[in-house]
Amino acid sequence: MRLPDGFRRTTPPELSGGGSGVEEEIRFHIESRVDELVASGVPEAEARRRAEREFGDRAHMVRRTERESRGGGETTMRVMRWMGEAGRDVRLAMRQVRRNPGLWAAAVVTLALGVGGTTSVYSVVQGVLLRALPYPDEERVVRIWPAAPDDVDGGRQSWSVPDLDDWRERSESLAAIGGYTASLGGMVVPTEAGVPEEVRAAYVTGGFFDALGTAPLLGGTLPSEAEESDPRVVVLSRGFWERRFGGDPDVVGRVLDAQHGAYRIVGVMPDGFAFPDPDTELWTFLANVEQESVPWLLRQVRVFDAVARIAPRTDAAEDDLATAEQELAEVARGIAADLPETNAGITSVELMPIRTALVGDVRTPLLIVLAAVALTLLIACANVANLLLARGAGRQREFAVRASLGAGRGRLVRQVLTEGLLLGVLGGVAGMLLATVAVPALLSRAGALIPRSQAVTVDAGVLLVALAVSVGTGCWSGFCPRCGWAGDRLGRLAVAAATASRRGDCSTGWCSRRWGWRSCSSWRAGCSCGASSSCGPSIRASSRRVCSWRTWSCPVTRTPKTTSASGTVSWSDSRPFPACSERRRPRSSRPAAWASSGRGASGASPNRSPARPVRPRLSTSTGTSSRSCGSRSCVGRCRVPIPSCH
Amino acid sequence: MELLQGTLDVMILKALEWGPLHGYAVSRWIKSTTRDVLTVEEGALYPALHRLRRKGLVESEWGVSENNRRAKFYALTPKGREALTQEADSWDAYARAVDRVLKAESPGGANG
Repeated sequence: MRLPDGFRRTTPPELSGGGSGVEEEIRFHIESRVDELVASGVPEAEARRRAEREFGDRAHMVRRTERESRGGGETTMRVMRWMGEAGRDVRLAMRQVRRNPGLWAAAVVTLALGVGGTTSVYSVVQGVLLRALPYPDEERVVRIWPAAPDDVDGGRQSWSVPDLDDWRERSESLAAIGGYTASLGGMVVPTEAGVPEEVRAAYVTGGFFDALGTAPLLGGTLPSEAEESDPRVVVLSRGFWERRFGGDPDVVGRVLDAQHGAYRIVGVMPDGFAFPDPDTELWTFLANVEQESVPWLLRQVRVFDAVARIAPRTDAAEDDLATAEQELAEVARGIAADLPETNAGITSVELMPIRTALVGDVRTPLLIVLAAVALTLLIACANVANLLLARGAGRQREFAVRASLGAGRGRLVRQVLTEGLLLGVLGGVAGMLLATVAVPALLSRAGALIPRSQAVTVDAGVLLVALAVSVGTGCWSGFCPRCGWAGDRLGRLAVAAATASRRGDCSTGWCSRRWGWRSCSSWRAGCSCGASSSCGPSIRASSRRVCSWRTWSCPVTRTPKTTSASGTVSWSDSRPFPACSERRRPRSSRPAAWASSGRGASGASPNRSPARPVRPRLSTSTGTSSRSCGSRSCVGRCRVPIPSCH
Repeated sequence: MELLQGTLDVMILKALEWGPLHGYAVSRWIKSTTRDVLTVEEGALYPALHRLRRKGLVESEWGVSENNRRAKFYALTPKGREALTQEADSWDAYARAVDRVLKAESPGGANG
């Protein structure tokens, strides 16, 4: 750049340590102006004052210029403004908390109970019903029983080991079948200090691990054929491995000294593998059980359970199961024909997917409980919304003032949402704390009744669900009571509120008959009623609440003086904007006297008669409603005289 | 008279048309050229200058002024010169249109 004649370049102040360049630039401007004024004869102090005045707000301009020069000025400003407003909203919401600690405490506790209950039960449901079992392709893993349909007691039998061998040899639809028993007592394993400890053990046949299919954490599992290998081997659970061997990674090959001899450790199973019982910690071959104690080689000793893996033939596991059941029944009939003295009655098998076998009994009850707590959460929402609504009457004026001071609709909505969010977060955190306490308590009392209860944890997923539920709840309960206002025209709100306060009448709300509010009310009424009938509290309370809602939807702003039996009211002259209140009423519902005049609301005579047809709604409203409306003025949804009224 | 929104930028560009100036000189030029009819809050000049610089319409450099002070000089870039021509044309069209409307003698226009 070529500077004008007589000027020369210099180092920028940013580089020579002269502070902000913008400041120096502006200082130069003012000094130049002072020089000029002084040269024209103005005293220096006066010149400085005038220069500053002409320049305007110097600090502000420096800030604005720096922002412009940094770039992205508008976006930055918008984000900054948004964040500032959000911060103010949060502070405002906190002030609401401080101003109404009791109300907020009630709301937070209500939400916390709802969220805590739902979270606790959901975490159980998630652990028991939703979390995957540790068996790959679990649809094809089944519990299997030989069945004697002609038997008097339903027919489900247990297995003997020779039976299992026969079925495995003759059937083609079984990829693997393994028998097991966990009822032979534990294995007594002395601790390192020499104290004997009885450890829950399962005695299994070869094929047990093949049927379940779980990959070991370390080493291998028991081989399929016990006869072909050394039977004195053992597989450890992860818990036992950590407890007894300190999680030694070289545990495979070491020896476990048990009371009845030593076992070579061949593998460690991963977390979550607990079959057949939640506390089973060791698995070894049935071959290690003495014939003297359990003569398991006899075909008549039917004391074993079995799991099987169905060979995949089609993509649909159900089809495979049905085919397998038919084929296995034929095998059963074949064996029965060959061994009439021991197997005559056993003519079919029963298969049950492992998930159903494990959790089938508790599935329905758990889901019912979940539905119940979810309903409780809905009631909690409804109650919180009611609490906020009860306070809402007092806050309309605040909103109207904010609106008339220039707060836009979005801004008001955001304030309400921020309050809801704060409520949701507080309630959610309290609910989560409740859940972390409640779940262990629940499991310690009912853990024995719930299968897979060891899989139940309050994990991040569950807590996230809880937080989402509570924040949603908070926003909804905070927002719903005001959806009528927010959707309203703010101008009307402001004018009407100003009118109301001029009249000294702020007794009732803008709980208009908008669909939002109406649907909320009726929804809540339904919810409360449903919940009341299903969960205890009396319906009467809730129907009273419905009546009180009716009071709020009283539709006009006017003060009735007298009510005659014929349904006419004389109105005090102070009522604002009478014509507007008739706007929404369908023509057919107008009383006959009105209709015969043949004129609309705007055509009413200038010297209005004191006697005027009343809206049927006032005279036919419910007892509660007319009592509350008759005795005082009601500010309802009167339309203020905006041009659109006529 | 208050300045119309957006006209400050084009006036700055015009001031720089004949060569680099520092902010104070731009402000003096606008003031004297408009014969004090338009009141420009002087401070508002600087955000506008920096905005124009960010848009690439002007460039700036530090130099020493006639009264031997450090000052920042602004000059038009080719892009700025182009923008000035464009703005001047559209302003001209606009002003002429408004002028015609205000000087029209009857609503009927040419027919009347």
